[in-house]
Amino acid sequence: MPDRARFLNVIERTDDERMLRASGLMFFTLALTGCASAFPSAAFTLDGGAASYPVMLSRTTARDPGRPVRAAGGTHGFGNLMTAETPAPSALRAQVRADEWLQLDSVQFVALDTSTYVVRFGSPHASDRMLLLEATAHRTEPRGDRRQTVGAPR
Amino acid sequence: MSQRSSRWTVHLAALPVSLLVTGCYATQNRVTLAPLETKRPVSASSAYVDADGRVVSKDQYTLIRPFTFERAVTGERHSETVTALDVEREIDQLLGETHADAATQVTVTAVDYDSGSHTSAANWKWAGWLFEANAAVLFAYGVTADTHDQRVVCYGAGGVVAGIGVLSYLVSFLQDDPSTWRFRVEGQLVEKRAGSN
Repeated sequence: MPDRARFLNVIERTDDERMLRASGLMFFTLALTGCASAFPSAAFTLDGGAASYPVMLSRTTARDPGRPVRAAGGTHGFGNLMTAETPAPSALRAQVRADEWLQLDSVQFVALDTSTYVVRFGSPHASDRMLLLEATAHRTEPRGDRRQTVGAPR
Repeated sequence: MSQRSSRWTVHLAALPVSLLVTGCYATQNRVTLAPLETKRPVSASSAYVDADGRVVSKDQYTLIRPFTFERAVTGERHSETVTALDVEREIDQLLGETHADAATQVTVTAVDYDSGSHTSAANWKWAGWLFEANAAVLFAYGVTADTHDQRVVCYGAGGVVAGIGVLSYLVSFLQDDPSTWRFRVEGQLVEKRAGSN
């Protein structure tokens, strides 16, 4: 019996410890969730991704006029509801052909908060966060054919 | 028109007025980035176009060092603000200090957006307008009241409510925290390998 009691005691203690660990983990997760920023940075990152062609942020003069490409993406919130679109950089890169490179002409981060009040209908709050991109896709010139860039060679 | 019918007119007018009292406040904070006028090429991808117009891929250069810096752009609440993101000088300085040929893999990440006092200021403004609307209704009741005592009560209550409305609207001016975009700019400074042309 003493052995059985000790055995049961161990089991109970183990269960208690497990519960404690589980509770601790739960509180830690909740704390992390509470501390985490609600802002979806991934949707508002201007980057070149895995593109192997140039995505020029500095002004580069090309010989060909190129073709304009544009993309927009972001989040739209209304009250507690939020919808997200495809990130703009991904949408822009999807429009680039294999033999092209990109000159970014305009980048805009836009935040628009609108609070409207209607008596008896409450105060709906709308929040839009957008990344708008405009670029020109230029043809990659064959070797030996050169274009000029701003930026003096050293 | 008798006083009774006048009072009913006020009652009937008050309902649509209270339904129609609306307000709309908007804060727009727009941050723009035009093509950078840097002395050396800056690319968001691993490849860049060099000063001679050639495409330089990542196997044609070596990493000098990565860099990162942050920027914050603020805008007044309940207004429209357009600000150019100033990253040119810092990137140019980094390129100059390290004698780098270019900056590649440059990312601009909006790490946070804080709408500041947009909502709280809107709530205080609405409170102000609503109290004023209610004060107007009380004054209208006072005009059509039957007795002097009723008029005194209506005007008195209307005055107090109007005062609360003015105070509420004034409090909205204390709620003036600006909206703020926070950006992190990261990238790497690179040097073209010798003989990689």
